[in-house]
Amino acid sequence: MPKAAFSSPKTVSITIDGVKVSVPSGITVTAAVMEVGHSYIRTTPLSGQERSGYCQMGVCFECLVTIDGVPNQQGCLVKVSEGMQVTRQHTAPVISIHEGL
Amino acid sequence: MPVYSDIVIIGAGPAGMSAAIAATRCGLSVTVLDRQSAVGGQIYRNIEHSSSELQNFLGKHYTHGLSIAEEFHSCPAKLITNATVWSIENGTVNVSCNGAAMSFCSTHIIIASGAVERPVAVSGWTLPNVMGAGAADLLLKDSGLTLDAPVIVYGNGPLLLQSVVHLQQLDIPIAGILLTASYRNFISSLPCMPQALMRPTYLFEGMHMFLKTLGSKAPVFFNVRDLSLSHEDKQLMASFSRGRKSHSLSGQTVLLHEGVIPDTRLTRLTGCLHDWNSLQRYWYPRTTCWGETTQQGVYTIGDGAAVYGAEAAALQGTLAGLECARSLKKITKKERDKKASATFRKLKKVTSTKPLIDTCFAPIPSKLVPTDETIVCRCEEITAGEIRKTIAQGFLTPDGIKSQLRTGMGQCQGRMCEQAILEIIAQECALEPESIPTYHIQPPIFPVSLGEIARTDASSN
Ligand SMILES: Cc1cc2nc3c(=O)[nH]c(=O)nc-3n(C[C@H](O)[C@@H](O)[C@H](O)COP(=O)(O)OP(=O)(O)OC[C@H]3O[C@@H](n4cnc5c(N)ncnc54)[C@H](O)[C@@H]3O)c2cc1C
Ligand code: FES
Repeated sequence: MPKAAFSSPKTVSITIDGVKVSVPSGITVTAAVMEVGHSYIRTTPLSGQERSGYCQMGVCFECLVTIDGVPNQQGCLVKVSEGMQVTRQHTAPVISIHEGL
Repeated sequence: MPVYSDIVIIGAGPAGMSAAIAATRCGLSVTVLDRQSAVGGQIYRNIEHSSSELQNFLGKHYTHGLSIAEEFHSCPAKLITNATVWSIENGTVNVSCNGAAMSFCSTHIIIASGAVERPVAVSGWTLPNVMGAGAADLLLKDSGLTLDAPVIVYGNGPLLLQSVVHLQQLDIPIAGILLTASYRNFISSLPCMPQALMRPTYLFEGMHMFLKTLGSKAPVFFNVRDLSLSHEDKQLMASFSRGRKSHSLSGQTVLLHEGVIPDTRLTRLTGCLHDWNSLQRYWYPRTTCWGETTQQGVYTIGDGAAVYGAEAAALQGTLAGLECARSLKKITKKERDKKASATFRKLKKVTSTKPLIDTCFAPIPSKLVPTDETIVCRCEEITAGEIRKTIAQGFLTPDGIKSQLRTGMGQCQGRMCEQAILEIIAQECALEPESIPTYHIQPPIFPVSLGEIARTDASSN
């Protein structure tokens, strides 16, 4: 699994899919999902394909996750914070242009 | 009511920060908006929060961002982060900030929104652990994260070489380096060499990266084509051809890169004219030497205006800031020219390597055209084959194809498929992409809730 090579020794506790994990503070939600060993970030609403972040800069929308109950957040643009609840999106329809975020 | 300032700047990378520094020095009020949670843009991503180990590792090209950020914070510009600009209309910039609607207005808007990696649509690029080479560097800068090894690297461009060097320095095993460039790229770039000698250190560093790539322990292949990725036994398999031979490699991560291209969403939205760079195959907004576009009061600078790199982006920022100060009568034309002369000199030097880079790393058009089975529109899962069928039915523009197949109607709004669709139409119709219209850009350019749009409309009425 991807390793945190340069991250802060400080950690924060978050939950990913309801499981409590400890991750380096200051990393992005996308990085946290990868770092704890998940092989993908979401599945597509159309055919259930597994996807992970392609761009890490807010362009591809492959990293959409539910953060503290709000769906369709771009995980690569959000940093983890103590107590954050992250849920990988499986069946939730992904936003059309006027909804969501 | 929208908040007024003399200039609204979109983007806090080197270009946007430098524009703000120059403009506030001349006494202008400036608002800077950025989607990220901190300043830095792509090159200096997370510069203020990254560990000293990471800063040491990435070296002076990265830590230079610290001094720009410091100077920016000590200037009186107002910075708003987590602020996504989703429309610009008649001098009003509409923003979504943590779910709240905000508006800013000005007679001078500077778009410094930077570049994006050209999406490399190859078969299997939607698989997990396949990402841009620049994206992998952003993971490192933002989160200190290194990749699952071994890594397969594919494509072309200086950022690809930089990724290889970073992998080597971090002792991350590389399974293979698959370069799409051919020796012809190098031969055709030779005439650009004398001009590039104006920037010897840069050239030397580029050569050094190239030699380190060649000297890699991993096999290096040139003139690679037909890459296809699949997932087998928990591994990513890369099959590709070179000459008449087919090869395959397996790894855990695949990095794709075919250069960076300006993000023209905002300049297209504001109706600016664009030109086509036929070597690097991207559209870029037409500007004066001060960054003013063909739309009065709309400026664009940095890699969003044309990819010249971070040093040029910062210098262009200074020029645009000075020109806005002249236009708003804070300084005279004479004062502007005097203040700008050293910056123009530096810019000439810094941009002297562009013809060499553009030619040496020119993507090979046939390699940008996806095969039939490749998913081109990642959001709606539409393949190149389906797009070709629609073209055969007479839909010859990206918008025409969109009306039939929903390409570009998903959450990324066509950011990931537009380039490949242009290349497919160009190939099928034997046209230069220059003669094909791009997607029509409409607000909101990022997803926002109806509530936010309603609140914005109410406040501007
Ligand atoms: C993935 C990637 C990695 C790169 N890595 C390097 C590198 O390591 N070394 C190097 O020399 N060059 C790198 N580059 C090239 C890069 O373009 C730099 O030359 C430099 O960052 C350009 O500076 P800039 O100020 O023009 O734009 P950027 O640095 O890209 O800054 C633009 C800013 O605008 C913001 N923005 C964009 N759209 C909006 C919007 N709608 N609303 C609000 N804010 C917005 C972005 O969040 C960003 O912070 C990279 C490019 C990419 C795409
Ligand atoms: S990884 Fe592309 S939008 Fe987050």
